[in-house]
Amino acid sequence: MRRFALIVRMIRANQTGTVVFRKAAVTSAAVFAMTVITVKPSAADSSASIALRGIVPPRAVVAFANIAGGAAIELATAVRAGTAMIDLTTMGNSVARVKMSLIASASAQKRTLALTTADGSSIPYQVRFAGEDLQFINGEALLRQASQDGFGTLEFIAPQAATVTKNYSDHLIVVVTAK
Amino acid sequence: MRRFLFLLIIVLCDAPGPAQACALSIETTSTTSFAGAAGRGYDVFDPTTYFQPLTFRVRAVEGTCPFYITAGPANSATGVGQLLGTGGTLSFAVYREANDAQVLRAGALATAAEVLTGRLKEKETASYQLTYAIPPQQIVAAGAFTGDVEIAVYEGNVGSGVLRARQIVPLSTMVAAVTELSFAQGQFDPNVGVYLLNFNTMHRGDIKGVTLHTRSNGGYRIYLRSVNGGVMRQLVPLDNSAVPYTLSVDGKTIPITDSDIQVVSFPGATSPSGNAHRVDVLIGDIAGVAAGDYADLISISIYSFR
Repeated sequence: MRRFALIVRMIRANQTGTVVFRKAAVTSAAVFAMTVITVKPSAADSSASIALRGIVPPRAVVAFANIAGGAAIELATAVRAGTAMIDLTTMGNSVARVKMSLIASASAQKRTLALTTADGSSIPYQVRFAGEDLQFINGEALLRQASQDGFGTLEFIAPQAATVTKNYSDHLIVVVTAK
Repeated sequence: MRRFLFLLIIVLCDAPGPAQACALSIETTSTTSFAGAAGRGYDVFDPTTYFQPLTFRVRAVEGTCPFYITAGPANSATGVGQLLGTGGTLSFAVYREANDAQVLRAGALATAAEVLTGRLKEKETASYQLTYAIPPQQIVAAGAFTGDVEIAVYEGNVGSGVLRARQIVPLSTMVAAVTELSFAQGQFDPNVGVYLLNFNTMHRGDIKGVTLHTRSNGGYRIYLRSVNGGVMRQLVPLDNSAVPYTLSVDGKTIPITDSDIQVVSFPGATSPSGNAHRVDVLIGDIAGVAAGDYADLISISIYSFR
């Protein structure tokens, strides 16, 4: 029966110790070094926590790609030729509702989209967004509802009217609301 | 000749002995291991003074006599003794009763105000109770501490008494390794372990912080980890948006993750009020981050050196 003696000396955390391993019947001894790695105890003496809280506010931006000046656009010149197309981009970090409002429009009173002149004459027109006719309800039409950045083309269509000699205009507002 | 020897024995037996009016003995009856609060021994940071009873009996083994008792730390001229341990020295004192200010001294140094007096008839026993205390917030390392109380009983009056019995009572206590942390900003309170850093509406560059207080009688390490791996996540996740933040401890940026990372290593003992470590959180770029309520939980663990 073989018997072994294992002698361990001076082994502590982060220290190098020596393990002497002797086989009783053999005169020579194998000696090797080992390092004890610091091991974090399994149970903390005490613990605490810091709770972080914060709000990223909803944010939405609307922009026209080819019209400067923000969300108010003048269509008087644009529709005279019959059709105008404006690229509309919405950006935000939340669910955004992009609406077109007739609040400032002369069409609001007539409950129909129309370009008007100062003397009261008018030309009806249509508005499409992304190829769909806009349906105005209570003076507002929903263009888009999304949580991601969006892009679409607003299309204004007026009947061809070769006799038009006056400047007809309407005033629409695009409103983007984030929540 | 035989008659002479017999008479001599009779005479010797009738002769008066040494002048000893009574023989007294002492027997301690209480535990002499200092229990502290709830039997935990001596807590170096506990501000409360715990008085522990020291009970003993005096018995008149033979004779009847007035006597007085002295008690106090052994080998102390001041009445303040020492409990010695590998982690240092704890002072202690013996009192007549709890919350008493007058420390008692043992042996011949005791004055009339520092002794107990009594009178016993032969074979009678009287019980006595003193107290001893280890003054609070002596910061020593963990380990076992031992010292001695001397109890002595004298026949007669203070100043002219004759020592009749003397007993050395060993005292001991354990001092545990104590390592605690707290967010309390006034007096250290280890029960204040949760802190809310509420940024409300966040903007890039917003910074908030808190001072973490730590104390230990043997050194400590602090580890941090983040539940969300170092970012704030939406309370109601709509997507994988995250608010990045930078965490610093004592001005040093910490690459915090969801695994423990050591942020502080402090060897040795602190004062009872502890060390202060500043933890700051700096909000990163939130452009493109979805709107919503965000949160993270930073877990802090402290380990004593052992």
